[in-house]
Amino acid sequence: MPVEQTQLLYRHRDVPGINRLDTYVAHCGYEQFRKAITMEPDAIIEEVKVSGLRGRGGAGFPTHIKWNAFPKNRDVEHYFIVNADEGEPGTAKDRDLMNALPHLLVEGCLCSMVAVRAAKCYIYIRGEYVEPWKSVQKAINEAYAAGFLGKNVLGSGLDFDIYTHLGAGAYECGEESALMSSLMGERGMPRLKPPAAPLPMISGVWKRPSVVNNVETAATIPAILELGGAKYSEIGVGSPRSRGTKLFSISGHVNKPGIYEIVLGTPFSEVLEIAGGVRDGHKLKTYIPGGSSMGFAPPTPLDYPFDYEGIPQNTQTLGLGSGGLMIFDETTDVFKVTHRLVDFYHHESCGKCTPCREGLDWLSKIYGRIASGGGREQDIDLIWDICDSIRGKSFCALGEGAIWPVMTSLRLFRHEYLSYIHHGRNTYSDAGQLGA
Amino acid sequence: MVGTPILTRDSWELNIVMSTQNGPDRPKTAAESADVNKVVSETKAAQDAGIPMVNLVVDGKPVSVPKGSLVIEAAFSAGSDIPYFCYHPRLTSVGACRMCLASVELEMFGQRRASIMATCTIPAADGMVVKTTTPDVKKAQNGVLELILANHPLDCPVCDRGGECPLQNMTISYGPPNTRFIEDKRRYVKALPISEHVVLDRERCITCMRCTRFASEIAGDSKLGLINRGAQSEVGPFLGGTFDSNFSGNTIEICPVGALTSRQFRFKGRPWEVKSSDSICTKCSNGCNIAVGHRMGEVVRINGRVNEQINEEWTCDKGKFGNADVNAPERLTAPLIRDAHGVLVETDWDTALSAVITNMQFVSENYGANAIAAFGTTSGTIEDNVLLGKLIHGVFSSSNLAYQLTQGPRRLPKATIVSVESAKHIVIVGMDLAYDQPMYYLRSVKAQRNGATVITVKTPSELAGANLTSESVVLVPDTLSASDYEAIQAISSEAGCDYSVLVSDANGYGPYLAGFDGADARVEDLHKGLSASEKANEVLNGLASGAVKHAFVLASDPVGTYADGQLASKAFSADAFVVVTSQFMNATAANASVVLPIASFAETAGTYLNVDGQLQTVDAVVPPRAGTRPQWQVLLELNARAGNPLPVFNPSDVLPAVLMQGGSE
Amino acid sequence: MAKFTDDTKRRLDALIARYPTSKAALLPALWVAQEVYGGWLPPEAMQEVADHLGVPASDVAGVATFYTMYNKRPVANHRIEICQNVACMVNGADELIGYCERKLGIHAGEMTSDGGFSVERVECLGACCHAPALMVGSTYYENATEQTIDKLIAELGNMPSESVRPPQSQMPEQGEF
Ligand SMILES: Cc1cc2nc3c(=O)[nH]c(=O)nc-3n(C[C@H](O)[C@H](O)[C@H](O)COP(=O)(O)O)c2cc1C
Ligand code: SF4
Ligand code: SF4
Ligand code: SF4
Ligand code: FES
Ligand code: FES
Repeated sequence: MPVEQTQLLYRHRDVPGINRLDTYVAHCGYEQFRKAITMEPDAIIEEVKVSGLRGRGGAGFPTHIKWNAFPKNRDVEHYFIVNADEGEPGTAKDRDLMNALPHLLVEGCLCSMVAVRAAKCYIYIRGEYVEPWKSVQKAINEAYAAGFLGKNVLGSGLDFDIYTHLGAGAYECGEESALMSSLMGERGMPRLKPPAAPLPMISGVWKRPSVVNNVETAATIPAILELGGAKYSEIGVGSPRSRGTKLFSISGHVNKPGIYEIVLGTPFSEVLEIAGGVRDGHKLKTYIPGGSSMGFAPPTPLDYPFDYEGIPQNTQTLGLGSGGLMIFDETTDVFKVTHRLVDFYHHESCGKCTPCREGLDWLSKIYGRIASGGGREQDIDLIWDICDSIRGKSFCALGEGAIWPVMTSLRLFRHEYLSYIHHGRNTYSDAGQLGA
Repeated sequence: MVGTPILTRDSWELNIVMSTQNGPDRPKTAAESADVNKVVSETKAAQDAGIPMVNLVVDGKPVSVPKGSLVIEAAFSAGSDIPYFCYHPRLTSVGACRMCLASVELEMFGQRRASIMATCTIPAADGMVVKTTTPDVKKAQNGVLELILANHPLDCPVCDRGGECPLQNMTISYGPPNTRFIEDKRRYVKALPISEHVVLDRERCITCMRCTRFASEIAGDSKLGLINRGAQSEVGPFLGGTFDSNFSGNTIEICPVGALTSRQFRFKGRPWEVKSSDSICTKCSNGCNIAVGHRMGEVVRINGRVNEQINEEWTCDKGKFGNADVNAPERLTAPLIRDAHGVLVETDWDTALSAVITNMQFVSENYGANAIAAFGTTSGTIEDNVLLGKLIHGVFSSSNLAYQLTQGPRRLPKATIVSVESAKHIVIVGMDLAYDQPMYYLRSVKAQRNGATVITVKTPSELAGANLTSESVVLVPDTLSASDYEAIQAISSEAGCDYSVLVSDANGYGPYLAGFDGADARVEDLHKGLSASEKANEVLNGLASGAVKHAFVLASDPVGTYADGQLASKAFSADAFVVVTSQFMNATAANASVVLPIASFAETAGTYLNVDGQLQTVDAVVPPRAGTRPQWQVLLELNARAGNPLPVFNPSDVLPAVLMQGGSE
Repeated sequence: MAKFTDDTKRRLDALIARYPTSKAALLPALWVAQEVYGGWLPPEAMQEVADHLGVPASDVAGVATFYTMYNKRPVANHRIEICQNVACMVNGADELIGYCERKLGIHAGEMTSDGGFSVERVECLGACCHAPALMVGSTYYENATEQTIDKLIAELGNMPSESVRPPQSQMPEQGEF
């Protein structure tokens, strides 16, 4: 019996006009905000705690812990910041959410703002996302007009403002401290974190209490308030620490690529089926479970719970990440895919720290050399050593994420590297003949 | 590329083990030693001052450091060594280079565990256990260094930093002895001049952001920034612009590689051939402590030297590059005497000195003691002034010791360089603080970073709109008119605050300490303030009217610098016999009867009283330029020739005697 | 030559008002400047932004050169930006880029001699589930094929660049309701 796929975020995804305030309200929109505004902030945090919600942006950090770290007063301005910088290769869910359900995001932000006692929210949207940006800004404008935003909202005595902020092309700005730098008008470089610096919830943007949450994390809050934390926590068929539903962007060699809301813990084989399975006539070679930084997974096992715990345990990748599931069939040249990813991280490295800046520059040159027939056997050890010099030593997780696809591909597909080194091409794939 | 000989993995690892001659006794550059000394002495001071401390263990050794110290600093205090590039004790931490990795065991989120961390970013905490020498740490440091060196050009033979390069030092102590990098290195145009003084070599840059942090945090002008990103990151001034900061020279010193180098010093010698001697900069009144670099008797560069009361470790560009005038071809190298045709011609010292004494004796005998006058110096030492006083007052009994500092109050400023750092409201009147009082400026930047308001008004009248309160610190130049000072006095006393006149010359108060300008002062009198004096004008009038027949001008230029320039130029165009000591030709010297070429600050010894009342004694660093003599030697000789043989002495002995005697006796 | 008009300055002030510091308005201000300066940011544009925001010019340059969507050189009227990242790559992005290059007679990263078109390789556009994806101006084209390219080039070829203005010009203003 396949797992029943409860739809929370996407319940009204396909209702025509759901991106407009009237339709959204007609489908019980802003009900949860009306409820939240009458609640004690800590009561909301408690619901979120009970729900077991973990960040949907990549790190999977329990949301309530971050929120609880805020000062429990409004002595200074608090900021709720939404991470809509979605740039992790393979991840397309926030874009869809903002395009289709902008009011769900606005409502989610409002509920979160009540919880963390913030009057101001910035939604940091990547520069390429003009369409989602317009969609969200339009929803914000409608919410102001309807009195959900502005001064003394719904007679609560509280003010709420949401601003959109457009990035300008830098993957690194998705890293939460770099995002804060960027929001403050600086180069998108990450900032010191605990134990080197206070938590952002104590001193974040403009040295005031701030938190960064993913679009999907914020958009999940109304569902939690609607169901109640306890009920929400019952959703999920895998690990007790992976609760609720999660949006997955499923791309690559599947029959029905798309964005699906999936109950956490659903077996991987079922997830594959939801996306129509590996494209007809082909078979699974490898996949990246949650955005490129997670690394490559082996084609077996297939029947394991696809969630925060199940993925790292069963695939030796970093994990669920941002939910960008990329499927590769046997035609895939894994060396080439990795090469492309190395170049991507090289291009996106902010340049602050030596390991990432120099390590990726070096890796990118080595991959280029191997690809053009200049590979040497010892390059494999060299690549591994360079990864070792980056691992745990880079300033932020970009460097760490960059080496994960490299190391996993080396572990699983060393023979493809050797094939390039010995024959100047990949004898294990039919790359270049991708009849669709 | 395929055939390039390469190392095998085994020899690589073997070499890691071989290249670990490191630890606290490794050779360090002066800057590296200064960093460690600063940290260690601050820890000691904090221990003595009873500041809250944290206790941790570094390499098995318990150490107690002031709260807020970083782990790398605790390691220094414990006598351990951690390699670093981007860390600098006077800059905020960025954690960029990742060189300072060590194993740090601490409690986080309720769990205690050890991991490898960048120790320049982590505050030391009670109960931490730090290890700097484990194999894991070594491997990590080695790996980071290999990456730093990957794209580095390694053109050490022609690099001005070679020999005092932290990157070279860290490599020999902590790095891989060879490289596995066989790819093309990043290429840039080499030696790109980015200002009058600084050249940039982007290939050597390790993007440590020291220079850019210096520009924004210390110099406060953000004239240097990072552009582009990732492997393409480079430092530079605003696109197409130049690095025009009055403090640019410091970036050369703090750059841990040879990416920023001095155009002046370029290829002047290998750093190890350059000897370094302690001195004091005399380009302005601040009295920055400097290390004069000299090679084969020639001054080749000026570096900053630590003095927490004055310049911390910085210099301004005027001091760093301006002192090259020691080598200027325009320097006077032979005494000049006016010949029968009224032209200044070169002569020898004996002739010149005889002419001076002969005239003094003649004037004294025929016109009386007060027909002789002397003008004190603000660029020479206190000793120079004292010795001149001994000659003119002591031997010839003239009371005409003239000197003019300012039209304003004659007292040391209430606002010291250090005190400005903690001011809340700083108002600068009519000067470019960064240029005129560089060290006051740097402290004002610090104050500003701590939340102070700093404003500049052009004229004293605008001061009325500056919202002065009793907390305000008002900084005023020494060049305003008497009525300006009155106006400032009126406005500030109404607000209940004080104002501080900052003198411009290296030894602005020196002549007072030697009895010039009607003063008979000790340093503490200068703090209280001296009463007004008309001595300078009196003497100038005497010169103009012909009553004064002989004027001895000690290393100064009254015509060019005194407030009443008209009177001064009238005075010095009268017929008197004028003697001027100087390094260079100037307006007063041009009309003199005898000009005596003297040694530069680096070639002489003595004591200076800086702008906020700090006495500093220095020794000569290089021999005097051929043909010149230190002023004190010239004055000793003149005293002797006038019948007042003074014991030959070490100039640094003169000072205590002066202060004991209080003046010129 | 300063190009900011009173209207530009009014727009910048409205942006500044959204943040606690004027520096925070730097990214949006650079978008405005890029629009005013015809699609790219010459040093004068950065200087004008620096002056209006009261931020050091070197900081503005640092920011402008950090982000790839601020153009440091003049750009083509129509920029065809094709995703080269892996989801698109395994769905034929390289072939599509190659087709586009041949059709326009240029290499990726170059612009046609009349400045009409450029082809650029860009990183993941967040359209991986509809790969391959490309972007022209601020419009996405997903599941793109050679026909998509043909159609785009045919249609855009006759259009002035204003019709696909860079995204910043369409910034909706807070409070327009
Ligand atoms: C290089 C890098 C890029 C990231 N990009 C994103 C992103 O685009 N969107 C996002 O929500 N989180 C991103 N993250 C994760 C964030 O740092 C952060 O964990 C997240 O926004 C927190 O929100 P959450 O707790 O709601 O997941 C990125 C992290 C790294 C290291
Ligand atoms: S790992 Fe270092 S260089 Fe890479 S993005 Fe993070 S801080 Fe920047
Ligand atoms: S910076 Fe140091 S390591 Fe680099 S070339 Fe100069 S001396 Fe050699
Ligand atoms: S120029 Fe020197 S100080 Fe500046 S970032 Fe480069 S290496 Fe560091
Ligand atoms: S010295 Fe610590 S990271 Fe550079
Ligand atoms: S990989 Fe092309 S849009 Fe994500």
